[in-house]
Amino acid sequence: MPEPVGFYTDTTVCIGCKACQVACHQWNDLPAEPGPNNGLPVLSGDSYDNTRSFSDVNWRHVKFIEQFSEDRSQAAWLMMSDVCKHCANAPCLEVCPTGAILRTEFDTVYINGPACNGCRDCISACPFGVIHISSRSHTAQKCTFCYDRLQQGMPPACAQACPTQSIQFGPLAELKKRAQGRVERLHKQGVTKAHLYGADESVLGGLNSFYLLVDKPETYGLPSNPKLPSRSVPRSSFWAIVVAFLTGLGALFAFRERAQHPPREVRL
Amino acid sequence: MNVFVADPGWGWWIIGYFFLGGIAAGSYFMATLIDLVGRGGHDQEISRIGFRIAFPLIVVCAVFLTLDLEKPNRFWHMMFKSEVVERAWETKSWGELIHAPLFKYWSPMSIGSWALTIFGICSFISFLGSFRSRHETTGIVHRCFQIIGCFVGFFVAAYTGALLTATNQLVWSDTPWLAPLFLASAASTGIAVMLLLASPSVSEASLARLQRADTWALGLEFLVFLIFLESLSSLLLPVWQTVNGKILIAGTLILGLVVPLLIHLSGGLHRRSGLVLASISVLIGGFMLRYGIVQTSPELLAKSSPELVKMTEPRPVVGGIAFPWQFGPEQGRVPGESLGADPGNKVGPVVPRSKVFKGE
Repeated sequence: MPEPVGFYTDTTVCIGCKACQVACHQWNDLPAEPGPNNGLPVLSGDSYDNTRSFSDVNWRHVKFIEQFSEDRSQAAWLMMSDVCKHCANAPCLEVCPTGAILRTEFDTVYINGPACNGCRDCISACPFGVIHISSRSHTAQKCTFCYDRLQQGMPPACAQACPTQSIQFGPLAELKKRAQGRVERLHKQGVTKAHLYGADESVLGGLNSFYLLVDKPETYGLPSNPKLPSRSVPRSSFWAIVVAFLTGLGALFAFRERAQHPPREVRL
Repeated sequence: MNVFVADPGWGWWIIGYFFLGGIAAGSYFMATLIDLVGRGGHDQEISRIGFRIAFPLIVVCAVFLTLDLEKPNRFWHMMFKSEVVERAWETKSWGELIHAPLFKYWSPMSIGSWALTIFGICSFISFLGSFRSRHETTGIVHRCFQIIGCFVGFFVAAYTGALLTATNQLVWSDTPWLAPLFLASAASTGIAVMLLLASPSVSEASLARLQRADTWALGLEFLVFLIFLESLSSLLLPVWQTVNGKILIAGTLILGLVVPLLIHLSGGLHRRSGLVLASISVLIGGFMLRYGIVQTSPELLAKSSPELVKMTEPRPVVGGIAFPWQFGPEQGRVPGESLGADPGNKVGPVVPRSKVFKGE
């Protein structure tokens, strides 16, 4: 069995060229998202980000985060190529009732289209807003980690297309070592805010697609503390059982007591 | 709290299912309890009404759920591994079907599909029994189905709330109180329909007992609703500032709880029209509860103000008991060590999507 593979995305070297988005569209034969005008995409007016989020046809999304000083005399850009995190403890895979979401031999998370019935539970469970329903196939869609390419011994299309090596592909253990070294170098250079997101177990047991960030995760649209859906089930169930018991008790008292003592006459 | 999620787009079919499913479950478990402890002949008419409500409504619910699927013809994938069934069908190796059932006890939607099926069977048997005389329906087998149906009914009433909590969506995943709230509401709406249908024909004494049970159920729901609001903590204000949040809070509180409670406590029994009014009010409030819960989350998400983003830090949850054990194989899974929650499905041959690969 091959060892787990992943993406290490170094946001400090991303130049926002969107080569990864184009490569993803091209390899996976994904159409452009139709806009209201003759089916052409529209300009969002949101920096250089015209796709704005993940969708059924945008499995990669390059974010442009504009940061200004209070007097707006200084500006900075954070760029990040975002993708499905292929979580070690995957919320989507956990809740999927059909077994359509599965784990491949490369430890990536894959949606098996023919098994999906479009219940959309995975969409509600994904803490990163990655999964969407296709208006064409009516099944859940997300990054496949180029499963077809991995099976042929090829790297994912986005990683191969990235001109700055912001997206790096490889065995997970090796990538984590490389990323840690990069963080240490950045700290020495004075970029003290540099840190890794998703490389350790604190985020859903570790993300197979992890990031080097230079600001809070929320700045990049990433939750600091995403949760696995099943964590809520025991305590929710516990209180439901308590209320069920009290409900039953109320019904029993309402009918039992009166069964022993004839009810007083009530005029209706 | 997480504002970086996508909206699953659950709409009217799901709201309708939550509402009608709650009534079906509530009326069934109330009917069973009444049948077991009530005064035989006098209260039997009420339990008959409960059983006659539950089955038709659960059939409607199954239709709603199927219609909500993007691929309705694949509704059976909820319970059986499609790969195994299709392979067995193609190769005619029927023995393989033993591996087909799919049951993920940690996934509310998976366990809910099975629960609905069992509830459907039990409620169907009780539905048929409701047209027979009492001595024909007190046999051990019939009673067993009733009791199983009663327990599963409680589950069906509550699991929809747990299903919403077991997500990462705003509001839904921020409180453990949706399942208890839906259960309490199922009891009150179930009794409301029973009261509506029973009021013209059932004896005054039985009606008084049913009203007493309703007052208790409404009081309990009132308490759980207040705890639910408290558990929203800093999210309560943003929720109130949405249209659907107002429907949820004001609608449920006023129409679903305060008005019927006041009617019951002020002796509304003296007028049958008062009972009818209270029941209708409970039903409208119960619907607003489900509608408000389901619709507030996407409305809040669409607003997604910077203030909301600032509120994403972890915070204590009311009723947040820490359970030490792991629940489900995905928790604590280490990469490369196991398949986790994957039930072991095998992907068929993956056809490369790229035209480049196909040489086009």
